[in-house]
Amino acid sequence: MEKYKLFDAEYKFVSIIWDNEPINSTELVKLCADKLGWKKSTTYTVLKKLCERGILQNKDATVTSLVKREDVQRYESRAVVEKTFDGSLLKFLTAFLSGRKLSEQEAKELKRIIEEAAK
Amino acid sequence: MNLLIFITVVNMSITASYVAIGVILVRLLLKKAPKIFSYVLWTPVLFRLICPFSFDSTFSLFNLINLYVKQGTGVSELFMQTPVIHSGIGSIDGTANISLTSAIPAVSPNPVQIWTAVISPSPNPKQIWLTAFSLIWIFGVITLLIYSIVSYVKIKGKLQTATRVDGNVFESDAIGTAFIFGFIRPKIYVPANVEDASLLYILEHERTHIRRKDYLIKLIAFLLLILHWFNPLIWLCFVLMSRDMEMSCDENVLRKLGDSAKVGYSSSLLSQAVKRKGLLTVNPLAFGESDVKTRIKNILNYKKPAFWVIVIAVIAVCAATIAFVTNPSKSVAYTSDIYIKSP
Repeated sequence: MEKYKLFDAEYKFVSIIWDNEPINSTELVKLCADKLGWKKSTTYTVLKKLCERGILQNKDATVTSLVKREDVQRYESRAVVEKTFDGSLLKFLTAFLSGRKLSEQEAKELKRIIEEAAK
Repeated sequence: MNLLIFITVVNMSITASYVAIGVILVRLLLKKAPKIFSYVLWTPVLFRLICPFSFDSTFSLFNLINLYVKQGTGVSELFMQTPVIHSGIGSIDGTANISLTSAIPAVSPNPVQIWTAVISPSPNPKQIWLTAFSLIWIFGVITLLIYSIVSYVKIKGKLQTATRVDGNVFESDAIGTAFIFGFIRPKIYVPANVEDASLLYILEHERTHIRRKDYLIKLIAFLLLILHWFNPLIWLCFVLMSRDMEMSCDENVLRKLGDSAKVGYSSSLLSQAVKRKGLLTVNPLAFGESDVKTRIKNILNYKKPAFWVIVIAVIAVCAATIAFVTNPSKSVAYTSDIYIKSP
């Protein structure tokens, strides 16, 4: 599971790839310079590190992702529930929803998701 | 050569110590005035730490010290010892002594004694001590420099992957507090995921630092601190000056954003301080914040100063600066002649 642990900067970087893959690495350097303010060397350092961790792939200067955005999001949200709410989904939801109103649409959607999960 | 530099530094340090005590006293008087005055007041200390020369004036603080010392206090010993020991080394020429004496506000209780010491021939046990001290000093300077450079490079590495938010503002989850980094093109680094409400204040604060070139002043002050590391009073000065710098920066932000910002601003400071615990210890070169409690009090108590307060503060700072920067006038300081005559 630790594989999906991404730092803030890494997450932003992988997000760029999710949005644009497959992407040429030269192109990626340009995008990172523009969106993240990174130097060429920084982009390559982070790219190499994430390739080693099996999150990205760099073949013939074409970069693609090996993990899905949903996987990382699932890991991140579970980590938050684990760390901050002692693993209690109820506590998390209570905290998340307190002082916040759901729209009709959101409530319906949530209901559906919960029923799905309870099956 | 090494010894000559060491003696010059020690003498500057002693001179600066007198000035520092003066500044700390005047600073107490300025407690109610805007902090910018306390901040500017440190200039003479900076000057004395860096420059062994100055010009003479009857208004010099050291005129007072001279009068005091003439009545026979031990303080002068320190002043005298160094040049005396110094003269035991063969290669010293007149210019060195001249530069030394102008560095030291001359305060000799007994010129005759020094005169004999100057001409007394070599084997001087004090000279060995002096050499030893100068080596310890150099060692300390080098150690501190290496330590600072290493932590600077470490932070730089950590900040490499910080992502741009806007312009020269970057965010990173590797840091717990906002600071300015870089000297030629300074950038503002903020912790990732700061609430937008806090961000406004943080950025205004850091931008004020950049506008006022505070990060450069702090760099200079820090280098001087390394040069004078053996003097605890200078460490105190560094801490106090940093605090004055921060508080006057806070006041600047408040003047700009208005009184209504007081509560929001101080609570953003507080939340930053809480988060910082356990994260990255602040390197003086990374432009960190200090003394949150004092600063919050200062922010909450801040009022636009009355006109007369500013007038008095300006006069006090100007008078203090003249008194602290200048050397005693020749009529009071009589020792310099003696040194020039030395072989």
